[in-house]
Amino acid sequence: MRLLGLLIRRFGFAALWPITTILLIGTIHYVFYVVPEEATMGIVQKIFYFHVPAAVSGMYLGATICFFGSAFYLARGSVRADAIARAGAEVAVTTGMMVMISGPLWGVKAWGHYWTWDAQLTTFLLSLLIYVAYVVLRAFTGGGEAERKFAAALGVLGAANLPIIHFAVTKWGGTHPEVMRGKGGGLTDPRMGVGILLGFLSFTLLTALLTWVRSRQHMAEALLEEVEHEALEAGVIED
Amino acid sequence: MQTTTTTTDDNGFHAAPTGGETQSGSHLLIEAYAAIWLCVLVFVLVLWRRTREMESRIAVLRDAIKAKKKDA
Repeated sequence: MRLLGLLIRRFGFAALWPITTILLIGTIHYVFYVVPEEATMGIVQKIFYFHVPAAVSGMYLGATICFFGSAFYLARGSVRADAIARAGAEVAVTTGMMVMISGPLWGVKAWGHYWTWDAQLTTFLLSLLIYVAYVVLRAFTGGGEAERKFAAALGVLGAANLPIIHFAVTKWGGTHPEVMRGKGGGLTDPRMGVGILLGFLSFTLLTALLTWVRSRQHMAEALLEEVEHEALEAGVIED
Repeated sequence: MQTTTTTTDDNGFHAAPTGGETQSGSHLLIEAYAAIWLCVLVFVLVLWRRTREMESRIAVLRDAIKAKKKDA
């Protein structure tokens, strides 16, 4: 088990990076050159193959990672859990922004306007703002224990909005389509199904890759600060 | 004197009046999109290398501290 952990730690990135790169570029190729154009929406519908995975495999997954990391940090005070939670929040913001950019581009074609205060859109925006607040808090308030605990509480409480986003459209209606939940039509051709699956797979790997890189970076930064302080006290380095 | 032709639809891209379209615009758009993603992934690679450098510095400092304590 220790050996497996060591192998993943040493070679995980070397394996994950090329797989994610190939899959992402492969998905772009498949979606644009193999998947047929949707009859009513035309080429704009292809936003769907990136918009939905960015929301589900990016934003929701990043937020879930942030939730578990934060909860574990509050329970155990582990630096690693805190770094993972912070990385999860950063991924949630990055992919959430992708959703907020690609969604209105689709919306202007389908609805005639970029934005509407629809239940799902509004709750999604609220969630994104929660994770932006988390990232800003961590970036500008230093790495003290109180700040970490406050951010962890935000990471736990922020996750409460996620199921609300998902069920908002079925509960309160609105204009946002329900393509992935049975209604709203869309994936009539099997190649469309493969396209969306590829999208989900590549965004899941991208989320894993980004979380991995950023959490390792946060841990290394925290550890370097600690070791440099120790080295200064021992007289190994000079101020 | 050279004249330029204008169409009623001025919102789209048009081929230069002196020559035809040499490459498909939609293909170029897709290639640009793929290139943006590649840039993002290369940036991730750069971040990873920086992290590894930081980890190497941590290891060097730890060894130096250990050696210093041993000497003392």
